[in-house]
Amino acid sequence: MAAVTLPVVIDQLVSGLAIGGVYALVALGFALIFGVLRAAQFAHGEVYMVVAFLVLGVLPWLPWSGPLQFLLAVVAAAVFGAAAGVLIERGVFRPLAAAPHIAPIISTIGLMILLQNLVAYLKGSELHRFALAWPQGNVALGPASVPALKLVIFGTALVIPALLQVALTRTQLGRAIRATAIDPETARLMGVDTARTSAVAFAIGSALAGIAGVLVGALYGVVYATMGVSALVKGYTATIIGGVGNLVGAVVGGLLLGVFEVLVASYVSPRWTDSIVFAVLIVLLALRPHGLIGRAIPEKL
Amino acid sequence: MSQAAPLLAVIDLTITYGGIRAVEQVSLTLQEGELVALIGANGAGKSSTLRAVAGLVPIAAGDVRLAGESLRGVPAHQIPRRGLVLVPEGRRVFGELSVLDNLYLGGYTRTPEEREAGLERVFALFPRLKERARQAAGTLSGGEQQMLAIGRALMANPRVLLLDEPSLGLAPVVVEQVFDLLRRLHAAGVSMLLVEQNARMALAVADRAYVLQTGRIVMAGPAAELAASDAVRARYLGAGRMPVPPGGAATGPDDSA
Amino acid sequence: MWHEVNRQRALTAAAVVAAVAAPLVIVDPYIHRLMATVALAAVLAVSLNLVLGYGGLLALGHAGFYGIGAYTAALLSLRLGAPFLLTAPAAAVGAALVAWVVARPILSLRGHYFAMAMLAVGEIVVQVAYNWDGVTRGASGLPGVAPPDLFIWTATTHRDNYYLGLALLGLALLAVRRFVGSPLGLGLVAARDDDQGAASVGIGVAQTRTLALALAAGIAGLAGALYAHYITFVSVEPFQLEQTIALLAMVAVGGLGTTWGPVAGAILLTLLPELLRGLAELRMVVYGGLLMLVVWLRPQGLLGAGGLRRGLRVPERWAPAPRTGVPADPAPVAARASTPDGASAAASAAVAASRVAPGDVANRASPRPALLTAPAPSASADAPLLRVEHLTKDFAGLRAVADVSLEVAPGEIVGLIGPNGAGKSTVINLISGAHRPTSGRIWFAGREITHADPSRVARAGLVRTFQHIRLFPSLTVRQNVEAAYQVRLGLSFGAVMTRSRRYREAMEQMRAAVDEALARFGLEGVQHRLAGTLAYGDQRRVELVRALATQPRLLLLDEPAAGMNEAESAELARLLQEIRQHHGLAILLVEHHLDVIMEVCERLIVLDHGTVIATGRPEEVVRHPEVLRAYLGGSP
Repeated sequence: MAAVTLPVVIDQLVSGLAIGGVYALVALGFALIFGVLRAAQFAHGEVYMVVAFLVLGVLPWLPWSGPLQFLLAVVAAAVFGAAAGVLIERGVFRPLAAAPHIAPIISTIGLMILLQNLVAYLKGSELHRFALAWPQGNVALGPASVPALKLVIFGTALVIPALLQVALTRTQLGRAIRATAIDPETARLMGVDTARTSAVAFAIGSALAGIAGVLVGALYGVVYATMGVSALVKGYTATIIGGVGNLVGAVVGGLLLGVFEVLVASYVSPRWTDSIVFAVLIVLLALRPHGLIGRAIPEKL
Repeated sequence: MSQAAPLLAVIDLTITYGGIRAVEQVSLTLQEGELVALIGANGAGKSSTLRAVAGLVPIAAGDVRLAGESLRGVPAHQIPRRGLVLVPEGRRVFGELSVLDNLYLGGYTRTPEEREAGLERVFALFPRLKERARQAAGTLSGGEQQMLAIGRALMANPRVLLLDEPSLGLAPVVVEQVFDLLRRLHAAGVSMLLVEQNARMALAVADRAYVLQTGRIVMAGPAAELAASDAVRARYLGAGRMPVPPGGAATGPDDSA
Repeated sequence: MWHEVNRQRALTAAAVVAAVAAPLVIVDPYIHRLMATVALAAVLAVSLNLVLGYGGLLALGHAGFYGIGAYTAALLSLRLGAPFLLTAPAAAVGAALVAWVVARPILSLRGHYFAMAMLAVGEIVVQVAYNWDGVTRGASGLPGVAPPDLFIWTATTHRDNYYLGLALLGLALLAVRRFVGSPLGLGLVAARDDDQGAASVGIGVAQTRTLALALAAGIAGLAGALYAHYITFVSVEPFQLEQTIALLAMVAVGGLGTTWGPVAGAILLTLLPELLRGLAELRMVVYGGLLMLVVWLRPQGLLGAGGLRRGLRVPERWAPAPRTGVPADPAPVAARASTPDGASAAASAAVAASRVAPGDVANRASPRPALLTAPAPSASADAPLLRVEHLTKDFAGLRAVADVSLEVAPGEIVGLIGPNGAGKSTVINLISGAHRPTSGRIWFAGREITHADPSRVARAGLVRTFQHIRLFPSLTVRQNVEAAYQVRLGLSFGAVMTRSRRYREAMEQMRAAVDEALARFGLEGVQHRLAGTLAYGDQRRVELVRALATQPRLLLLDEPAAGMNEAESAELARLLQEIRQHHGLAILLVEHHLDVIMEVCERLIVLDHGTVIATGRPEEVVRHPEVLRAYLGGSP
């Protein structure tokens, strides 16, 4: 059990915020896709995993090794993720647009099984080392000395959602995406090509998953074929904590989940962390049925 | 009345849902600057007709022409670009977005300059909306939401405005305001096709009207003449006591079964 | 229709014979093992289907209940030497109990919130099994569980266990069918279609779902016990999220909410990986791809007729109303006249009679327990039926209703009017329990209902309708009414599962009463159509009949004439007056159609900005200057 001293607590918090930032990106992507398509993307974690492997593959080809390598890795992850998203949207969701709600869920479960086993077949099911040259070393943060990597990951997980928020609220495309999420038919009456906005939203959401996959690879130093399942569960949990359809909530939910997990693991029991997290979640849902941040707004007065 | 080709022409329009005909061979026209009302009982096919014109419902047979160009098969999102906008039933404002965002979406097909100009026009027409520009549209009252829905449609600067039940669920004083607005728009030369349950009010503002019954047009003519006709008065203005048959006057998809 | 039933029976019989005979013909123990695995998977899929298919609840923790059953049985067997015949019921009860306990707080959750909570439950089960070394031996698992011992016979071979699994499957199918084909099942499907609509007619949504979930968990627990005794070893792997996901796929691939779909899905998805064994490591890749392909080819499932979109057939276990051959009652009108308010009843019977065939009138007029008789008046008949005091409601800083007080007397029709956004719907939502008031109190029939939930308020006799009609679209018109009527029958789980005499009598009573109600409102002809396919006016009528089926003493009607033209709303006004006369109930009516308001209301209450600005007789209120300004427009 960890000591309760300021440096240790700071260290724990930074660790929690780093992994929480990863959850936040996964959750944000999941929530964005869910918001626009009203369908759960169960292969979201596989996008995260596949992109991490793809970036691992191109890493030796990147010309730089400092901060630019990190930036390029993130950009590559976004590109791969977006491409995967477009493929999945076209291949899985669009053909099932008129099908019962359960159909895309089952189809993405099939995709999840397919991708997981395909990567395991091609690359083996063992852990693969994933190391970025930057950032390395520690930085001083008050009385504590924390890994720069964790701060950078946390920072990335704050900057990207902030950029997305600006894009969604200040641009016509962003307004179109939000309108499509609220009422697709009326959005079409405004002249919005909702099929295209859905694809864009799906691509952005998947790009976020891809970035998260690279960040988590850098954070833990490894990637593996089954890493997507826990990412899906954590991202889903964070989405629920924040309230379904609430993008800010998804980010806050992810960060809260990460910090809470690290604190419970350090100060209560690493072994029972998952059980405690889920038990707290059930109590939370019983008390706040629309998530921590989500709220019930009346349809009309 | 202008003798030119109609601005909007619906020609022998037929709409089917799962093989059942909801609208059959409906033809109607709208001239430049005209306000035409489409009245009829629930389920008579009024909304279906509007939705087909706006591209939301596929056209089984017949055609819709806007200034001579066919709209058949044109996807719904491309129709505003051609100058035809539908104000949907139930207002359908984007409740979580601000009033301003709603208006900007209305001008989605326009250039940024046109949008800003449109915004000024709409704010001049509805000063209330300017006061509440930053507010979430869902917090507006029903009447204000209807103003927003109409203002949002005007943002596209359409040649034809379709209105589906603009008075639905509104208090009498607000219904008056909505119809006042329609009169003002009419006076300003906006061409409108209006679907209304409130036949009395609709006939009072319209130039001409069509009466739909179980998917077919059964009467047409100048609004004042229709308002004076006994058949319309008995059936749609509640003047007589028409017993409504148990099955209802309307048809559902399975009525033929 | 009867051919269809016979064909299905023949198919079922053939399937049963094949399932029993197959292992006697095929002697390969490998095949027997596969068949036993399929049987267990089918039991689990059938139980999940109850919750997922009929309940519409994404139960992402189902394998957890399977695990609880397996560990319960294994521990009882290992620690106490208990035989299968004791461990199996214990496992079922254990799993059902856990489901019952955890379900209560989370069953009011919607959609993905519920799914998440169930996922959490399943994960906790796995984590506890994995980490509680002292009891479960963690990752090493529990070996040495005794094979299934039925005292006279012990299942030792794969084939024996297959037969046990098959018996269990039969039991599971019977239990699910009985539940779903009962009024409780109607309530479950109604709540799936529209939980607020279900609560508005008094259906205990959470109670019904708890029962369904507990039953499904109990069946999964039984399967777990069989698994533990059959494999003789228990560890966490088979109970993880992956198993739940596999079950989900089986149910959906087979067909949600169908009797045999889950079985078909279990067979296909259990055998598929075996058939693909030749592909070695690529096996699961192909499996995933094939799963996607099946969904793409048949999104509604192999046996699904259209899935949730187009509605779902609830097996009709009680006989449909006889069409012919019922002896005509000699004095239909006389039988009617024996109701408390005889004169008006006879009059409305005459109105109804003009709409239906004579044979039907005779049919429904026989002296059966009637659906639409008014409830006995309460002791203090002159006291207000509904009393609202100083009601206030804030939404995120916005005061929607401010200090509203009002009363409704028994048998009174009161109109609640006001501009849009004045708070009328909020008042209705507060009274009906959909929202909790910020302050103020509400009494109904002498009891305080300020904090009662919607279904309790409805059961107390205060029933609302909605501005946007909330029928249950995947139920027929008749089932819509029955779903509301069954609430008052108060059938117990035991009665439903055993089909006791009391149950059969209650069904008979329901059938007769619903027949009568449908005939009275001229809905007989459409009673077997899905409610969502009806014309608007008919849907409004169904909504009213459904509300009346709960035997209300006060109806809250939220804009029933919305979207009606003047002729249609005049017809509605007539209908409301008839209902009031015949049932002696009170009505609180929110409406914008002044013609309706003026025709039927004895008193009006006018709201503006959340407060009452006027109240009184209609002809006075419409001249009130404030009302003219805020609502009606024009000048005095």
